[in-house]
Amino acid sequence: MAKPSKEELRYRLHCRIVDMVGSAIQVLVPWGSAVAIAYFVYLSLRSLVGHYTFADIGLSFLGDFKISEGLAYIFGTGGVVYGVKQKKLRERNIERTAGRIKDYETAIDPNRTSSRLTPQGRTRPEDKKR
Amino acid sequence: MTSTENVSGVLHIALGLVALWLLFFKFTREYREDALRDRLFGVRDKLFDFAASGKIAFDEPAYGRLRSTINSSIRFAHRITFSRLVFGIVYRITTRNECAAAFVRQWRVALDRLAPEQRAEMERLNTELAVTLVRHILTGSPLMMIFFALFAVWAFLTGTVRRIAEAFSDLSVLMPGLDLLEAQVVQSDQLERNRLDEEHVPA
Repeated sequence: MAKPSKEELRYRLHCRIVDMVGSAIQVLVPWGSAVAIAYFVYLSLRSLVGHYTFADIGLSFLGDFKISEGLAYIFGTGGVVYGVKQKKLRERNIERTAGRIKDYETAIDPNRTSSRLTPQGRTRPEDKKR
Repeated sequence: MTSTENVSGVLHIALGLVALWLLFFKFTREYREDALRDRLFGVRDKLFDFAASGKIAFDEPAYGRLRSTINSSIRFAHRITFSRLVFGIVYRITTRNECAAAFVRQWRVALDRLAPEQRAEMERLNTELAVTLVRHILTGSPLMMIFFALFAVWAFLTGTVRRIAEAFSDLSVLMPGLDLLEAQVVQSDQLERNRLDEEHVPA
């Protein structure tokens, strides 16, 4: 393989910097929000320290549970379970059918190139890291 | 409301916020990546069908280049984000690197070899790829969606819509950082393939 020129190396470096800044933002936004949520809960509960035991808080939480709230939680959890199951089903379908499509296409174009996802159509773990 | 009821209320809100966090940053993000990949596979299938029908050779550089760009975009769909596009635009504005322009130039050279009807179809598919990526980027950022909604109203009122529709045949005019984003995923893909070739790891 030919040695890359100085300009090409600089270009690769700049691409890497853009990529790293993009990755940092992609990590900072969700985890920053998580920290903000945790801080909000901490501030809310800090004033109660020493006044109530965990048992008091637990009993209050469960005791105040209204049927409408319970139904909302069941609906939300059910939606998540439904979504996860649908995703698994779709991934199983991809795993079952993608191989056949690949074989048919390779028969027509022997130099066929691939997207290099996992057989289930997910991002490869090593691609997630970089 | 008693103090214990306050505690209960805080816990309900905390649980709700955690659920919303999971919805936006885990499930929605994964869904959007999968949806983008699904649309890109659709574009790749159309490209393959065009070549399989004999209208363009599989070893034509334009075909290989477009397929490679689509493959790289599918592979690195999780990297195609609004923040990367913004930094790509900043990079294009602040630096004058020939390599970034070379990516677009090579595509133009590959297109020049083709017959008019082949060229038209390849440009159409390339535009479809760009529209898919732009749509993904625009709908992924709340900030961008607000900006886009305001822009749409302004464009409608000033009659810019028609001019934008005309310019849509070359999205790099509208989105100068998009070609860099595409070049970036293609380059990452190429570097990884080179590494595998050197290590003799089967693809």
